[in-house]
Amino acid sequence: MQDFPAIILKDFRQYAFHYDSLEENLQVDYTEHYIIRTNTLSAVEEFNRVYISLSGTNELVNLQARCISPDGKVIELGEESMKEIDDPESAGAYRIFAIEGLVPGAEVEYAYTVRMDARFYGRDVYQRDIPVKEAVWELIAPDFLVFGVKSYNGMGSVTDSVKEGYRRIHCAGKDIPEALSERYALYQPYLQRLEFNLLQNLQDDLLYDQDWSGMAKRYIDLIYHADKADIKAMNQVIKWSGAKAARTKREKVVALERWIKGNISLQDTRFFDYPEVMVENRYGSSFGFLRLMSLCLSHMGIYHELVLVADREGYPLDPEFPNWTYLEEVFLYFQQFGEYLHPSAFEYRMGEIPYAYRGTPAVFVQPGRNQTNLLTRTGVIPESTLNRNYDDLQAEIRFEVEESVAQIELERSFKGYRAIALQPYLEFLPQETILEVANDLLQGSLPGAEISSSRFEKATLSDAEMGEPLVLKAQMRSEGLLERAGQRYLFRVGEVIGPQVEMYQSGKRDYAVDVQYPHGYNRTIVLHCPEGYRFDGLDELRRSIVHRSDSMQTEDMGFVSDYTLDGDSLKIEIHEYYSNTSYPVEDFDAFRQVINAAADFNKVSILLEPVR
Amino acid sequence: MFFSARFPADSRLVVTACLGVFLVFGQPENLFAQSAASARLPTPEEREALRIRYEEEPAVYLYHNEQLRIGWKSGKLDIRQDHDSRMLFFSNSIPALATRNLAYTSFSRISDIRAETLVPVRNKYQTYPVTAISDESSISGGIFYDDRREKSFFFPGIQAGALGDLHYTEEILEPRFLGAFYFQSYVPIEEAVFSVTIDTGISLQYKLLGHEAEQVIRFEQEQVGDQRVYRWTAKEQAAWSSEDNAPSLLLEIPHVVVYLEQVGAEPLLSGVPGLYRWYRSLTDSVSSLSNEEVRLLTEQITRGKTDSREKAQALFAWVQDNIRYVAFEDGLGGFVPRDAGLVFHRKYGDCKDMANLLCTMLVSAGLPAQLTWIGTRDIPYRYEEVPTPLVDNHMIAALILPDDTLFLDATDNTLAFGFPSSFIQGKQALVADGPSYRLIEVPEIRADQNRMEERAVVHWNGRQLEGQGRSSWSGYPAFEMRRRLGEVRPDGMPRFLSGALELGNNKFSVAEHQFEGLSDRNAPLAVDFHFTVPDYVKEVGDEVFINLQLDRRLRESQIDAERRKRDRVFDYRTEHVHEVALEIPEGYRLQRFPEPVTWEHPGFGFNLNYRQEGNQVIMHREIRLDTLQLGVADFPRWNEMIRQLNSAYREMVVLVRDAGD
Repeated sequence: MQDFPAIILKDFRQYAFHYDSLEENLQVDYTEHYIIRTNTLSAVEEFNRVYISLSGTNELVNLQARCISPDGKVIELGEESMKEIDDPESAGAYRIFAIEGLVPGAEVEYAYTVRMDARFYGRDVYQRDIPVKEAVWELIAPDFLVFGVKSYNGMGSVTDSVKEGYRRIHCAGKDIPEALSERYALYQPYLQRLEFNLLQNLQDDLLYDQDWSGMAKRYIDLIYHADKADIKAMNQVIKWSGAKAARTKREKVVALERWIKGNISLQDTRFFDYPEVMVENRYGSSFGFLRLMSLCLSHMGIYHELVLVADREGYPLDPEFPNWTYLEEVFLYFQQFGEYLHPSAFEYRMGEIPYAYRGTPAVFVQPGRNQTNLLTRTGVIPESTLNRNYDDLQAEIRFEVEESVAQIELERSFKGYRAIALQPYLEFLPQETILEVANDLLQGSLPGAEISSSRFEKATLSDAEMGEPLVLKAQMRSEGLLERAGQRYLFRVGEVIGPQVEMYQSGKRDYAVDVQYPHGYNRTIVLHCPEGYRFDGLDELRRSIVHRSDSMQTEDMGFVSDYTLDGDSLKIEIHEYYSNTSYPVEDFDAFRQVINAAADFNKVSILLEPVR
Repeated sequence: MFFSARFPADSRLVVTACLGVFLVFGQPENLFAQSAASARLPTPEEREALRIRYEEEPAVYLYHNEQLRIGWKSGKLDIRQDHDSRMLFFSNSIPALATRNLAYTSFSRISDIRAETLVPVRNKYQTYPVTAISDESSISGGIFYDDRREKSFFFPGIQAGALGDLHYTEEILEPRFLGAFYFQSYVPIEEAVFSVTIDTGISLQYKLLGHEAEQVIRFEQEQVGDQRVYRWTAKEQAAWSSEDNAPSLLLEIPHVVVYLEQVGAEPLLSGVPGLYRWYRSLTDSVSSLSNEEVRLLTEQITRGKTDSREKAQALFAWVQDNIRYVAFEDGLGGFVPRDAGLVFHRKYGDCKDMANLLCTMLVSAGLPAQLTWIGTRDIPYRYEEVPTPLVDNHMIAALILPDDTLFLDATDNTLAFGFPSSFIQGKQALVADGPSYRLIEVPEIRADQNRMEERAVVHWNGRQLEGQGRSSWSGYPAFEMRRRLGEVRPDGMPRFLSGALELGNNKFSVAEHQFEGLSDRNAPLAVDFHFTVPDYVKEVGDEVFINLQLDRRLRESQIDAERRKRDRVFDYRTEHVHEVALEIPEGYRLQRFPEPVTWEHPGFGFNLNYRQEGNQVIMHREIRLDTLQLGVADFPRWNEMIRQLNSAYREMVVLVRDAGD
């Protein structure tokens, strides 16, 4: 255990529900108790500062902290060493303190209890990048409150017992190993954790059923509720957007989206939840955008579904365990077009949503025409597809051997998620910034090369809306690609495809491979042999690493390169592709081979030999 | 980080970052000019003309004024500053510009905030007042806790052509913290006016600083009744811009630093003596020799040691090893070191706390140590030039030896004894000396004290290069490497070394390794290792092509001399040696090796050569960076060196299989 910078000896968390002194409102006392042994200086620096969040709390009931030195001496922390701050980024207040006397080998121990208005759901993650010896989760509540609790990834079994009017739900984990992140893998979904949610109140009906339908109804009530001022704002937006005049329903949606995203900026504070305030201030919260868009669509009679979903790279939605914690994002789905809409992100236009929300379970809500008789189903938002996400390169190269110079005509084209960070914004940037962006991309692709000219094509928001690839064309000059040996030259042709990710170091692999979304690279390089020279040493250009999935019998990833020599010109074609978003851990070695094939190709050189 | 520029910040804090914050909010008005309320609103034609003039800018300050009034109120000093500004926005969605954060600490109070957006509607403006202003703690960066707070709001309804008007009053409670006024901001300023009005019996000093400040800023002063009025004006100031690794922005931005020399009978910041007198009054309140435990510990650490340096080195190491850096900045707590005994018990402290504990221990061991104030390299002022708390942001200990003064900064636990932190090299230090003080320059560490070497003996095996290497570091590169090594988990070491020592290409892999001097921060650091580099060697027919430049540092260090406007600043001077010996196996002979190359300049240079010795061909290369600041005028020479270096990096050694084999 000395191998770790620190070890959590104890991680105890407890929710104790009880009535306030007037016996009116349910409250919860939340307690955390930690004991951490620090083994190294960096661990001391990590754990000697403690931040206790008081956000949403009514009272700090108790707080004790101390340090136990390696020789067993105890240093208690006094009240005078504690400070309170209220955080500017609306994260609420904190109590902060620094542990006194902490050195490597010593233990930090602190425990606190905060009192809050009862909140009946939550998530507790126990596993982290250092081991946890003992983890305990406990919920104590009057017995008429019935909770659902689910433990994930082997956290331990949950027991539920009732005694003398109180319910005690308990879960303990022992020796939880450290979880270290791996490249090309998700991390959070694999962590040992608990989710809990109130299912029933045996004394009183709950306002909303604690199943997906109940939760969806709460959303519907919030989204489609509009007062007079909001309706006025909505009508203005419909008018200004020109949506009514648009021909088809899809064009109406696009017109609304264009106006809203083009005229209102995202500012995530609750103040901007209201269409009226949004239209006046030209700012909207994500929730405000969702409301404004949904209200307009409803008003115009355009059928749409709400899609409730969680980030698959965080804690993906569990269809079997309805919980408020999973309801992170709401998208719109148009069954009639088969397309999704992100209501607030400027860069995602009709049809495109962030990849972290694809290939993951979601709750689809079909509001009735009057938003009352809603239907809810769980399903999966389909993954993106290989042909939507490309990052292609074409290069034509001529040599000036005397000067050791390669002249390169380069064309890159980016499609789908490969273009999303740039294409929608380019037309709004000053020329100078666009040039910098282009140069940064080109420099990243061919470090050290001089750029004589560069320009983007298909670089407008409407190109992005149409799904056109963003094109970058450039004329470059490189001295770095030619290595000299007297009259002969080695041309480092592999570097033309740009720096490649490598996974040369092998090691223990625990998690499935994740490449975020299916994507590919098609590269064509044409080399013109200078007069008086010939190409030699071409055999390294031929490579083929292709993996077929056992179940699908299809090629699901690969790196294939080949060449043809036609007179003076050498044409090299390279295809690299990942057809899936994720691959089982058994395919990790195959994946490494493909990734490394690209990284190996990056080191390939060919000889330019003078013709005798 | 989040002291405004008005206040000296603490250790390792970057003034340019403070400046960023302050410039955003350093606003104003003046006695003579229009007040915000009466300022004429621009017509649509005027707005259009401004939009065209500032085409690439998101906004412009039409005016940006501060009026500082220092006077007597019921026999007490009263200092208030009115801020007035009007920004014209050129774009619809600029949340970053629409948001304002007005910072204050326990040394100031902000009141009377009036802010509104004026949205053009035909030929008039419609007013949208700011109604919600939050007031929250503002802590970030390297500080654990300070008392800085921010009043924040945003201008509603910003769109192209809208105006953002802001007024507020700041009451300054500590007369030594008048700060500075900056005539440039992150957007252009049409007119910036700073005025100071003082009552009789108060004596004000000011310094004009920044690039061509004397030409850019117009200065007037006059006597109005009992009051003296100073006024500085600048017009049509472009937005400031920044570049990576550039000298402090304070050298560029025209600004005025004002400070009170004398208030009534009381001398305040009357030159460096005045500043020191105040600093001393703050540090004298700390009992430094009282703690018996600290004394016993000092005795224990220095027992058996007779040499002063040896004792000091051991005490410095103890503080580095045992006290962790945690910064609590609370009112004057940002200036007063905590009691040495308290810091000893807590095992943490900020720079002042660590400096004071170290001084206490050194003095207790009979060594002449002094508390020392200093500004990091981001602050370009000298004490005589700006004798105010703006001049420094850090505290260390100075050990005054007969032949040498050592600057000891225990906040960095990787520093070898005797090395100053790299960010105070060449800076002026204010060293306490009882009622007197000394101003001493911190030395700049020589290039040969910061040396890196990579040596390797290699052979090839098919396309793979293999061999035995040794990398070593001294001075700052060694401290940096120790810091990185300190963060590596034991099982992560092979992967870390394969990245950190990379030679040839990224398939480089370290098989076995052995460190030297890892646990002794005062010794050079070295590591011996076996390595392989697959896919490195090119064989065509009977010939083998190998590039012996296994390390190609500075390869991409060309400076864009056409675009870059500012000097390039380096953290330290350094020397680098790279030597690779290739073994020529039996059955092969050396066909060619490259010519030697030398490039020399006073601030930088390199030389490399190849030679054959027995069955080895040896490449030897040295690169030298002997300056902390590369001037713009030297960029072409620098680029020429990089070009020559890159050219040399492309030269290969060729071996050929002997005929008949």
